[in-house]
Amino acid sequence: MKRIVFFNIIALVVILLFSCEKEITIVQQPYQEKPSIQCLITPGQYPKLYLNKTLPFLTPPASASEIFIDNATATISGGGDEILLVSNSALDNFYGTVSYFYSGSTKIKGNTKYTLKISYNGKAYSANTTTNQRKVQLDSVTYIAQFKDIYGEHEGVVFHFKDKPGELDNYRYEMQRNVDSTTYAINDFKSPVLMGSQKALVVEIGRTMYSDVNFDGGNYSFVMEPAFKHIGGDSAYVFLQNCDHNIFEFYDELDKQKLTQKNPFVEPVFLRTNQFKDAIGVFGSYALSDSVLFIYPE
Amino acid sequence: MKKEFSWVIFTFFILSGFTGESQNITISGHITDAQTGEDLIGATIYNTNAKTGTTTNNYGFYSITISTKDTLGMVFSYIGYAPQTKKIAASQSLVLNIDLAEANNSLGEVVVNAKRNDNNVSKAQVGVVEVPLKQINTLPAIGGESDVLKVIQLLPGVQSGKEGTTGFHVRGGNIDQNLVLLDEATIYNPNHLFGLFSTFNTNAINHIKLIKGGFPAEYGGRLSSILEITMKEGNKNNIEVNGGIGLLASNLSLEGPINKGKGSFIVSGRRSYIDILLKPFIPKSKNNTNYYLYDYNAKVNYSFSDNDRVYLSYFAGLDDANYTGASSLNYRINFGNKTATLRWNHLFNNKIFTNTSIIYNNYHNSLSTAQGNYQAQMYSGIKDLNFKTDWEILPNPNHIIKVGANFSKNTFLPATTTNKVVQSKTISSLKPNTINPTYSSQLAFYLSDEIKMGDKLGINLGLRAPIFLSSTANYSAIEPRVTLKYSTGKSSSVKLAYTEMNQFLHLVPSSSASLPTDIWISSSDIVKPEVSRQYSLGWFKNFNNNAIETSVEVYYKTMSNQVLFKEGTQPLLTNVIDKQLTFGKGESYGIEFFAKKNFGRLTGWASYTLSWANQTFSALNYGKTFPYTYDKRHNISLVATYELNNKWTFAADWVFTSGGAYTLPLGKIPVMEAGSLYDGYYYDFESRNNYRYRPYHRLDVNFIHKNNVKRWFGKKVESEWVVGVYNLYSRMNPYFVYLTVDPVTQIPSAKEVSLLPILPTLSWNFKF
Repeated sequence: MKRIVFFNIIALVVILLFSCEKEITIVQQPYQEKPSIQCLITPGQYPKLYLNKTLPFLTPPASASEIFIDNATATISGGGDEILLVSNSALDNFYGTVSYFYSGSTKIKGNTKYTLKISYNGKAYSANTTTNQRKVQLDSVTYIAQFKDIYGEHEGVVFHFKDKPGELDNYRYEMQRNVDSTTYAINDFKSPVLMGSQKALVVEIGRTMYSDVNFDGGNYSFVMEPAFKHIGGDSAYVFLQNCDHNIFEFYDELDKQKLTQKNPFVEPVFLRTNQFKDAIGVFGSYALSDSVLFIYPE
Repeated sequence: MKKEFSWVIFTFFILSGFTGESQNITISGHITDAQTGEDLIGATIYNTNAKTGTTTNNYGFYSITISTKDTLGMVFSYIGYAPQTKKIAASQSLVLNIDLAEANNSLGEVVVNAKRNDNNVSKAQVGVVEVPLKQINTLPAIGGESDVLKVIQLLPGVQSGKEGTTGFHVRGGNIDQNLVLLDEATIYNPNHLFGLFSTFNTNAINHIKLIKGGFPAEYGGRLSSILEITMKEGNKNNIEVNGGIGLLASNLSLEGPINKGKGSFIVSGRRSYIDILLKPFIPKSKNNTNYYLYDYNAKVNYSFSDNDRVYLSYFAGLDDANYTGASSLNYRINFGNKTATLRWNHLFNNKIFTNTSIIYNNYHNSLSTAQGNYQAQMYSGIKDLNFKTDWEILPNPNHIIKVGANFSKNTFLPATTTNKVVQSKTISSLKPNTINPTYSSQLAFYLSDEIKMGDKLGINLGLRAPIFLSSTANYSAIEPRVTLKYSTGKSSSVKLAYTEMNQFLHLVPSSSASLPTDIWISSSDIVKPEVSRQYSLGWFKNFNNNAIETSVEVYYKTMSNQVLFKEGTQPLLTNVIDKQLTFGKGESYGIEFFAKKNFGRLTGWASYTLSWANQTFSALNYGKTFPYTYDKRHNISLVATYELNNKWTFAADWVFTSGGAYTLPLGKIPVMEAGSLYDGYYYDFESRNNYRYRPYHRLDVNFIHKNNVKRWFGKKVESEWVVGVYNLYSRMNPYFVYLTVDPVTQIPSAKEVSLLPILPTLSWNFKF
């Protein structure tokens, strides 16, 4: 009898602690798809516009071609130019995927106010930016094998530079590097298309935006986590972007939201349609610093 | 000008209380349980000549001043006790202590000629519910443990939080807006984990009162409710041992007299043993899963003279749990309260009663979770040192004047952090000594007068003046409290109340995150005091000589300076939490229906609440109003206890609440113009708390069998078996929902975590 009671108790407690998680069906609430717009311009380069549509949350992921809006009309005008953006595509030589975008055939000028106009599905979307950001002078680039930030512990490339006092600047890093078939991304992804000594140019952009609002005129040293693994002697060209407020606002929100996806204690971050009505995205400009050659020491 | 006029009126009423009549006499004393000598709180004293009465205060003391007559008829009564009628021929004031004997059982209780307690109708109080401990002891609870909070959650206007969260919501207020007092000490978290048990061991409790509107002036510091729990003092006549052995926990109490009844003591403890029972059965993959809880109560009191009595009480409770679930979700929580209260009761004369207290408490809550390679941690600690003095002046039958002051010093230790899980995969906890403390102080004065104005009209006027002091900001306020009662018949009345409350301590809740992440902080230059204004209107009607109480109450409450974290806040150890907050306002309104049967074989109640609770923050949800997570439209509770015969009692409760709110994104946004760390889909949220959990409902049943009284070693031993089922039809009620992505199809899906399926309970309680 005592034994029966004992095992009943155990069964009970096991039920209590282990039968408590199940998948549930959640009905997708009505959701109006909207354009997702990303167009960042910088003097001396051709403009490029990523124009995709958002999807209801509880749907399978779609391919790049499925979400690409290919029937829009897009122009960038400014400095006497009216640049027609036409649909285009490119192969990512590392991932072996095709990306779809709109591109223009006239280079962007400095110190010019530009207007992006998109017409799609009977609706017009418009935003402005001015290419007046200052080109930053990188003082040096160093390496740290291990550092700890909010994302955890990892290696880092350290940028050193001095902020110019009296003006609002927003920084983020960019790294360009040729990788080969032996290189892994930090998520352990290896290129499925690179063969032997074939190389592909990869461009990494930091996900953290740094504003000088509370550090105007200071000496900056910030650390970025590379997106690809390396061996000692690998080289890369690093740059510093000095971005306008549109870019800062949009990518800062993305960064914060990314973190909330990892942490159930944090309030979710809503992405605002700051620049566009009924669309989410950014039209912004930045100035790219001169490159600094960086060689991994280990 | 208006304010000055109000003060004049108020002063007039207060002063009028002192215009005594020379031919009056005062009868005063204590009403106690005949068997144990325990004070009976809220017992009724009724004078049949003047058809007037009063009730005992929190220390069992009463004082009633009445006109002298040849013979005075006095009736002393208390629910569950046989009333006593006294004929008194007295020309002078006298002390009359009364011992009431427990009614053998309600089967034997016939309608007595004496007037039953009708405080719900006759007193100028609204939104007050006193729950008899006897009823709590019969109702089903997990593991066979009687549970105060489970019963409180069944009252109208009270909603349970999610299973696993800390407490309950009253009339649209957050859980931090409830002041839970155990012998005057604040209990910051009154629950044990998963809501399995409340932290209150009913073996150590004497009395429970919930106030949810029309707050008397002696209470302050919270916006929504006061839950006042008084610990037992211990048997003054005999050594007594009470205990219970349950499936999940056991408890034991020892109480007895000191110095021939001049004082008494009680020591009580409870501990769970899930951790010990489970250890051999937990698979290696989940070997961090573990859970235990305990709580200990101790109290001693001593009368140094007829007019002086000292009480010392202590409470400690702790929960510690680890959970390793599917999807590599790890969850750890450790929280506990410790309190100590030293009180001195002094009677200046038979019309002036005072109580002076020094109170200490220490609360902490440490929470960690890890999923994948990330770990998030939170710590919230608070320590209080409190000094208060309360004076009760009873000049004549038409006035009960209360005046007092309260000073408390608070120390806060709040922090949260996120980092990568170390290689050992163990989840660490934040160390309190690494957190920067913040300090604040509160001072409050109050004055109130409960006035009878003829047979029909009663008014309770009060003012409370809280002052808050901290290194960054000082605040002060005047809080008017008014309750009007108008009798519409012998057994019915209409009441109207208006109260203002200020709150200087804030629990920063997660408005939409799915795990409990609450952190206590103090007001500051940035965090302004929360202020509520509540209007309530009620109609009260009793039937069958007060055996059945019914009421309908409507309320409307506004709450300003509500606090939430800003979007995406990652408050680190080095951050000042104040700066991570955003502020808004709240509003709640509803209607509550309540019918309660106090006497007879069948006792219990039915309640229905229809309510709304919304909040607006300019920085959240695009500035649009959104519901609180605990905005649950319908709330039904049915509670019944039926005495089948002298041996068997059956009890059941059924609760239904609409689902609470939580947030899910509606769309996903592809982002391409970025580096490898950026690319991918982002969430498109359209509104906060846009989804609803499934409704919550649950049926619990209990059978209690009283065994024949036995004699062990010459001692009379009473015992009973309690057999019950919690969640009889095993409703898997939602606890929280989290998002995940199918690794193969990459389709997002949601997982719902439920805590408690059907749970048979069995316990054996004894007393000797």
